Amino acid sequence: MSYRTSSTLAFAIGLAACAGRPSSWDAPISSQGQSYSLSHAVVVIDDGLHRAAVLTVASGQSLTTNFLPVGHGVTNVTSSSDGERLFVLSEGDAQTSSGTGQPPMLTVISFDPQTFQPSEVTYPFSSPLNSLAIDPSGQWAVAYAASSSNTYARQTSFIEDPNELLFFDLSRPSGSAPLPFELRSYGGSPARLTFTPELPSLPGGPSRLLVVEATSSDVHLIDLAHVADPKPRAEVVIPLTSAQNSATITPQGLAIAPADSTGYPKMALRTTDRNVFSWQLGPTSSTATDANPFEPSINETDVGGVPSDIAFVQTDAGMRLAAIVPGTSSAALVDPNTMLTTFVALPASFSHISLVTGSVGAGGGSSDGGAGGTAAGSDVALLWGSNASGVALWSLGVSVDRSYDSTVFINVGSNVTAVEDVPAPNQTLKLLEISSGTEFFVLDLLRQTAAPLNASSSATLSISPDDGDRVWAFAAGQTSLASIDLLTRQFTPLVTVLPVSAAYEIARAQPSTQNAGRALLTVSNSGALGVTVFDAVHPASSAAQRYAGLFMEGQ
Amino acid sequence: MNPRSIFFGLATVALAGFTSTAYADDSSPASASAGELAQSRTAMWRVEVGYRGSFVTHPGYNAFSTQDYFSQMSVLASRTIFVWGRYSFAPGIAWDYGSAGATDRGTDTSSLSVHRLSIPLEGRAHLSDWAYGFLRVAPGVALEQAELDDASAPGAFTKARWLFSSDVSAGFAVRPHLERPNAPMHPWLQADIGYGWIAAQRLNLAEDAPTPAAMVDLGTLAMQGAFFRVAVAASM
Repeated sequence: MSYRTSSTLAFAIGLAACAGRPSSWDAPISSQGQSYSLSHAVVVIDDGLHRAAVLTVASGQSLTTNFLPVGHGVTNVTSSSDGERLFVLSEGDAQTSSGTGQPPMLTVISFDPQTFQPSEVTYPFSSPLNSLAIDPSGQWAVAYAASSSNTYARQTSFIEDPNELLFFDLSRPSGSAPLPFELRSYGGSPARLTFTPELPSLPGGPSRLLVVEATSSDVHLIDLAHVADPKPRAEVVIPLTSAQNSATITPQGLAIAPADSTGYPKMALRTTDRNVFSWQLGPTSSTATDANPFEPSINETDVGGVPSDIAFVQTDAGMRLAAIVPGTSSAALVDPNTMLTTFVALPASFSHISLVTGSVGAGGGSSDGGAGGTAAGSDVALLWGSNASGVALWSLGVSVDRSYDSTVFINVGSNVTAVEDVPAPNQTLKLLEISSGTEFFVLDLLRQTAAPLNASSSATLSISPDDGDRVWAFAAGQTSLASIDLLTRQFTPLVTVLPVSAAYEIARAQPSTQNAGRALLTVSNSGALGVTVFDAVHPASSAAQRYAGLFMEGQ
Repeated sequence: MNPRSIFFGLATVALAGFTSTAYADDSSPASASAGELAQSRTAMWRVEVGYRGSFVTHPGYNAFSTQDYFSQMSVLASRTIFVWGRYSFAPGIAWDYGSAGATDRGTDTSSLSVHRLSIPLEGRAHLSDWAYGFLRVAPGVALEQAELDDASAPGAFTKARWLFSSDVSAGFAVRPHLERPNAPMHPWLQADIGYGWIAAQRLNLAEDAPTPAAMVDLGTLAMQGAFFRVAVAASM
């Protein structure tokens, strides 16, 4: 071996061996470390390594971590309403002149129903977007550009087209291109997207609509049955103008009545104006072949003040649009056919209405007078929020004829900031969260009682999504939590070693076992992700299992 | 001077020494008789202290270092027990120690220390009484101690395990003409390059706590790769 050969060999060995480690070991862990709950898993986004940690519990407190790739630069994460899928929207890499870099994409994480093994499908697209609307029926996901309260939301590119919607057909295979839909713009951008249920009496045949509330005082109705047409039908646009002045009106919320006695679907919209807009989707007068077979007939009704919430309700006089007006401590019941309005004085200034008919039964309420004796088939509503020091049960079966006798006020001594539903079989209970955060109430709709529970510090609540038997309470950043039996209000105190950032009750993902029990996962964002697993039904700190450094694994 | 430069320089010296072995004996100005050489080699006790740089490219090492490089201190003692003409054989005992550490993902600190105890079996080809080349095989055991500190657990995650190890290397030693006549000890400068091997292990680290968390699995670690060593030694 010559000197030159020896030297070259030695140099080559040295050069090859002196490389640095992969950049993944230096990728920072986001301090936000957002976690999301699905029915059988908790998913934590590790944006630094462009992956999602899918945490499942198969048996006991044994945690399994699967890492799935997600796109670069997460902009939005949303779970499906059934808890079976997670949607991760990403902006991709900045494109170079050579066209390299990952494109924006939608990653959908789901589970094999037999093995519970997670997997992902991806749908790339061209221009970054930051917001998502998920179809409750599971067929569509729609990406769009909008300002949002989502943790990741931000303007994702130098130039955005806020009126472009991308429809992702979730039944199509990975890699399929989305369907673009350009809204007719009137200077605004989408603020809120709502998928309607199927509208059986819609002219032209049963179909579902996507309702887009735009910031530019207009509403767009898109027929989902024709989004995938080679030439999609143009949307129906409903312009909103104030009857009183030329002030800009901004949509604030939608109510939908799929059908009523007249046969045609109805919708209503509250805005920043004191008028409520409502429309019926009847047959169109247009003869154009590509026109939508329905068109709205629009009405505008003054409800006496700016409404804070609206809902279609069944009363003793038929279907009405209920508008809650906190400024006048009243509600307006609007006949959607005649636009005649009945004003109902409320016992306090409420801001929200929730129908609880399914929980207490139609025409429910007590039988001893007050919010009782209602007409069969009528609704019962729960009123809460604003400056009211309690909640009210509103029996709509007597609301038109005997409005003075239609409400029962339940005083809790403080402003109710949120009402949490409790799943069946305990759906007659509601959990009331109070502005102080240190107190909450278990509302019994049948007994019309509200039992208080106190916490030593501001608590975050999480109701068991399975049977509603229990609620988990924890203080963010602290190590104490508790399981509270909603029926007996007995509680089991628990402690964790690490501060709790979030807590989720999930079903165990045990293959070939229908009911493997349930587990509680507390997530700590300290360090490289810590998780503590409890048995959810029989929780005990001594039987909990801790997991640490999860983001250090799988590299 | 960075490890690459050291490696390059020493490798050049060592390989050049080997390639010139066939000529060195005749060309040495200090050529001695076979009897004199045998006398000086048979009685050689030898102690050396040096620096060892290893190039570890296994991905398991990435948790503990930002480079694929591992530094160690090296101590060795040997005794020549056989001599065959220009050749001799000297077994010994050696200890290598080194550690590395890194910050991972901006939050965790990690460290790895390695003790290696070995029995170097060294064959030498003597060019003169002031220079020889050698081939060394060093079977042994190594103690790897890994630690990870993560804020999601109060205790450190650690693992310590003894593993089989072996080195194979070749090098060159020279005796500088600095000593006094009839000095009882002779200084040496030497360098060698080779390949070091420690059995792979699973890095499932356990928390040092009364009720420990589940193990953290950092994958497999195999401390294997080319190395160089420079040392000073004394023979007597």
